[in-house]
Amino acid sequence: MQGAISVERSWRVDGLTRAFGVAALIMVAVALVLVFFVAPSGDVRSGGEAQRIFYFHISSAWVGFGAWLLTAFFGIRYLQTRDLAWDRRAHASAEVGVVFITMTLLSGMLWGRPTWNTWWTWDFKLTLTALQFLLYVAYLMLRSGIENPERRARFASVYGIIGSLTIPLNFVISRVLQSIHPAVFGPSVNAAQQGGFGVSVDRSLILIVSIAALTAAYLFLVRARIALLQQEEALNARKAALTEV
Amino acid sequence: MSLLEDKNAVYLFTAYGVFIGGMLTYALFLWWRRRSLEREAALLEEIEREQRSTDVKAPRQVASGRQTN
Repeated sequence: MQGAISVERSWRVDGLTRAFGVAALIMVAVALVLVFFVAPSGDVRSGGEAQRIFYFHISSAWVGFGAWLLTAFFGIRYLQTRDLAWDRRAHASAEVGVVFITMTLLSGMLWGRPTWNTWWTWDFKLTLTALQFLLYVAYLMLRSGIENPERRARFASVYGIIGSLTIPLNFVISRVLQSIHPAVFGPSVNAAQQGGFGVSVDRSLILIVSIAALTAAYLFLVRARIALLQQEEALNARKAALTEV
Repeated sequence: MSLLEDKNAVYLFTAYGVFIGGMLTYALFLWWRRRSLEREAALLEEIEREQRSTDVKAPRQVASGRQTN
């Protein structure tokens, strides 16, 4: 009976995860109201009403690439400490990151269609982002292909660190090379061709709320995934102990 | 012109459907995974309990066997 109670308790989501979940729900709702009812319409060059896509598009890219950087950081911590808890965090962060990068790519295509008159173009930035998505997927495939936990953690850590080197490149590429993709922040050599995508103060505020909302959603999903991975490992250990007997 | 009348509104709504749908789908996957793990844990607990009870019965049977001899 006591065992049953302890198992029941261990499945519960902890307070901080629940807080991130509630915060994400409220902030996403607020961000949606701001995007649809407060944000000004874009001009024809930036897609008209479709320009409103950019608030969540940038936010999901921010979270997706941030998740990859965190995967690399957790990988470094694993290599330093050899503690599998860091590897679990890296795994969860990469998995949630795939979700956000997928959303970034799909929403970018949905903005590109009315703005560029094409769903996809082999622009440097777009191609690099697609490559990063594949790198993410390959990271998860690599993990599923190695059975030994220590070996898997070591390989995944090194892969995660190398993969994260493409992220600064993605930020810089549309600013220094000929690119159709707008550079929303900072100077760009292509500013005139990219449709003058400068962000006004009111747009910046809505963008900040959107970034905060998706960051809260990421934190909720990652913490929930880490807890599940922990449960999976505990169950596998129990199964192994049972088969040994 | 209202948002709904704009010819590009369909792309806008589809994109936000992707954002919300993407996050909800992943959250649902986590919920489903948790449920299947819970079921697996309950099954494992049952097997462990059965094994414990057979472990307890076995020495008793041995002991009772000795007495009859």
